Amino acid sequence: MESLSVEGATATARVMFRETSAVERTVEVPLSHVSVELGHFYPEDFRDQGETLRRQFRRIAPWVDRSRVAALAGIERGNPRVATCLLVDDYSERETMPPPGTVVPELLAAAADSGLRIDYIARESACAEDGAVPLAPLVEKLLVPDPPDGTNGSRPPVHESGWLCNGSRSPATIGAAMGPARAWKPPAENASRRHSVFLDVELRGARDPAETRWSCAFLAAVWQLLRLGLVRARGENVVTPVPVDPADLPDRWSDFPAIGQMRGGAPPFCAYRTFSALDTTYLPVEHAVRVILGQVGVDPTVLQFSARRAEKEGIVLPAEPTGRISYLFLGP
Amino acid sequence: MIIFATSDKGGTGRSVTSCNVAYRRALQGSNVCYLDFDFGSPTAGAIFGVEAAGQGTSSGSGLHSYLAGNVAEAEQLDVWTGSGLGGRWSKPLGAGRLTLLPGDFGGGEFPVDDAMVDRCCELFLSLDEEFELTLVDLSSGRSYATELVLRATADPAIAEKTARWLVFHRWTSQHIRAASSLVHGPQGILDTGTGCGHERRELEDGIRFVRTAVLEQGSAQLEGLRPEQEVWLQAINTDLQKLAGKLRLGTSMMLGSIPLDPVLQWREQIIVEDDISNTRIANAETGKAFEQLAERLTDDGMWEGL
Amino acid sequence: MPAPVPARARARGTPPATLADVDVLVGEVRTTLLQNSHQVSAETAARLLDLDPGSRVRSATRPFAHAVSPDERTGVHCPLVTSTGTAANGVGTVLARVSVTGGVILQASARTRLVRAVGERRLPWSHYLARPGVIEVDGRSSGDDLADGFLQEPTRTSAADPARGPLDLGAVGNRLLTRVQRMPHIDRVTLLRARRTRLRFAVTWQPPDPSDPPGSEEPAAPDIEFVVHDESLRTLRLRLPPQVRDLTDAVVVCEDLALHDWLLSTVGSLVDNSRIGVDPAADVVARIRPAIDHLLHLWMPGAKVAENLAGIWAALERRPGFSKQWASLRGQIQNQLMMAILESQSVVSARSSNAFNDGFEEVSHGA
Repeated sequence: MESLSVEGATATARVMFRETSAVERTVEVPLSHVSVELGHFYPEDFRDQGETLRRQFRRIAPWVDRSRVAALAGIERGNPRVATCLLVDDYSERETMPPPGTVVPELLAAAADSGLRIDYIARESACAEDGAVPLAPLVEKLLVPDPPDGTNGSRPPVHESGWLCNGSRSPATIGAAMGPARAWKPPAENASRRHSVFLDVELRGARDPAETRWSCAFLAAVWQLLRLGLVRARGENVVTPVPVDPADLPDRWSDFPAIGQMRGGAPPFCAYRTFSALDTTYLPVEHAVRVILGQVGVDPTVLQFSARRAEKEGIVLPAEPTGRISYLFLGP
Repeated sequence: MIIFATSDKGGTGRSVTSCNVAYRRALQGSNVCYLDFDFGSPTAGAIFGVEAAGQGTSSGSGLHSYLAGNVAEAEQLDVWTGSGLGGRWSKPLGAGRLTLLPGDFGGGEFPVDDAMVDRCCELFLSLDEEFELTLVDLSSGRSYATELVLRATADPAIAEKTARWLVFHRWTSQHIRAASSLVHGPQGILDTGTGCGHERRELEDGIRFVRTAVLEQGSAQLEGLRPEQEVWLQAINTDLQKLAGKLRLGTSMMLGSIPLDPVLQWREQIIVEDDISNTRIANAETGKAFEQLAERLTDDGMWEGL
Repeated sequence: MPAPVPARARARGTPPATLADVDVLVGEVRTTLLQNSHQVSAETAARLLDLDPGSRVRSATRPFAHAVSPDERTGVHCPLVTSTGTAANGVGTVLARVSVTGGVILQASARTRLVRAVGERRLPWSHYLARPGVIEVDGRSSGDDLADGFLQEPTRTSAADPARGPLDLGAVGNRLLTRVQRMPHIDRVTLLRARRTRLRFAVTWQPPDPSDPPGSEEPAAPDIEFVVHDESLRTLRLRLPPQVRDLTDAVVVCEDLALHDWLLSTVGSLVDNSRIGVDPAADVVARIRPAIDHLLHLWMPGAKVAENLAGIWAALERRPGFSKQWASLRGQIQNQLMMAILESQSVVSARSSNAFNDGFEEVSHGA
């Protein structure tokens, strides 16, 4: 594990000594230009023989047209690498989700009807703890809470277990016995311009301590980070799409890969930027996602990897993860 | 090792005895820190003669502020250099450190929450890195301070440390009853401790009693009593012995006995060698009692389970 | 650690010409003894320091066992002390890490780089988070003003507004120490009682000397100010040549200095309190023994320090002469060991010729 090399055989030898266990190591992942999310699907979307799915794909197809996506990613020439993906919710209502054998063919057929191809299908439970690496706890550990004015490091960050906000909460109005009565004070958003849009996000439910239930918003944040290729576990990659044969699908979602690759030769799953076409009901969730992502301390080496690679392709990439995310919200 | 000093009632001389024991122990070579957890009346500074913290510190970083989470670290005062008791207090050769963690000036009692228990744990653990002996003087009776340390010492990391309790009481019927009740009675130390997760038996094995302001048979103060008084005193003493035995604070549970000494009644301060041998305002027995108590804190023979 | 990118400065216009750039590295190292009855193995050290499942503990075996945790980030938004009293506020992140050396010494260091904020307004948190270990400072203070202010002992009584205390890097490091000391992998039996020491440091860079030809072989020497304030507080002020830019290397120097200063203080006070010349040498040796067993072999000043910063150690060896003092301590300890051997031999010979008396003494003890 130790490499020792002596350069030059003259009087003063220059020694290069290194122990590999003593050096930080972070792997790079292959990157597309844009990761396009075609939707986020619940059990009820599969109750009408694909009608809901066909309607969804028909509405978004014109917006995820290659030239539009290329322009969004800042690509002026050449062939953009665009990977399409979607997320199946096998997490919040585990029992009611029809099996992959029903869901996957319906999705593929409905997309094909609108001329869309699906490169990757992921299951939401893999964003929680059911994958090879427990991703949700890993990302939670990376949170660096946004400090309100007056945070000097002397106290641990105010941490309401399982919650994350974008400012300072309204203080409790009940004080100590015989203490002065306290008037209500509003919560405040950090770095607000005069007026606050304060948001407090539930990351996980604590109703049953035996089983952590991660919130939709938190899992959606993990999903965005995965698509941006910004998650590492001990420096190693956590995104490994597994090819899936649509003719040979498992009976249970737990046997489906975390990320199934539906098409040979599909561009890489991770990308410089993400673009999600979603129903407007997801607007509050994605606001929460941005509040969370704004406080995830992504490894700076990893952020620089993608920025540097993009630069080589002539693309300017924002330094912050939240700057790399775009949306299309469609009304009902 | 962590030593908790408590008492059933006020006025037992708990604080002044604890300070003297800490002082003797440091003289014997141990690094000792003294924590003023008498939150309602933080006066340990005055007993040690550390004027900067006579009635608690004004720095805003005493134990009240630390436990409330207002400051990251509690103030530590070196007693050897900070004490103004006659200026005779340079650290003797071979003596250990003697450090006071004062309460805040004007600080009072406060209810306990989880975060406070956690800070208390951290404090005990970090002090244990530096000091052989952490002596914690608690408010008397069933206090928040007692609840706080019972909860803190139930933490797995602290539970590995040896913790011992000294319960101070005067040698009167009321005091004996109250001290017993503080330990064994409803919502007493054992009840509360068990509720916090302590093993009742283990906790009980770590508790000993210290009698204070005791009139010793045959001591100089009893000379000149009329025979009737002497007989009466003898009878009372026998009754008290019986009562103490019945209430589980008999001789086998007693770690020490501090004789009545006027200088302790009138001047609640450290008794130094000079007070005994030169100015002779204090009795030699008192000094010996402190010294013996200081030694017995870590004498495992005195702490074997019964 | 790659040098963090400076604030999004250039893109949004440079600050007024009257204000010079600010670039100050400030930090605090806390050093203590790992609470375990023996030195921990490399595996245990790695488990103790495994604070972040995303990255890995780095460990080395040469020249001594040394393991370092990944950096942990803490967000701050608070006033900064300046030596002139000029108001300054900073927003950004602090990096902190904790390490185990030789399986026995536990160190936490928290550090951050102070740079000038570009605008008056605070930016979204993601901006600061993308620049870990940088605090952007508003106001008009110079780098020296901030560096000197940081090294001042905070006046406790000046807590006019307790809700807005100045940057407290020591507390950030201390929390890491406490976290490790509470972990289940160690038994919390103390080898010896030692103080936690704190070394507060501030590093600035000398302006490039225009008379130096570019690529000059002979870099300017660093300027060092090391002050021992009391039994636990030390401050270090470094002004480095402009060529020496690696922040991690600078932090390593400070950690290395803190470690050796702690060794000196700890072994020194152990020897001081061992009653040399008063008690028999065997008793003295028994008191010093934990240092002999666990600490003496760890003295290797500068072993981990980058070559272009080796001059700092060289200077400190001249004055105050760390290794000279250490050698003298070692000598004292060795003398006591010799004395203990001699004393035990004389006791053995005395015993053999005095068996009757010994037996008599035992009887009288038993009585």
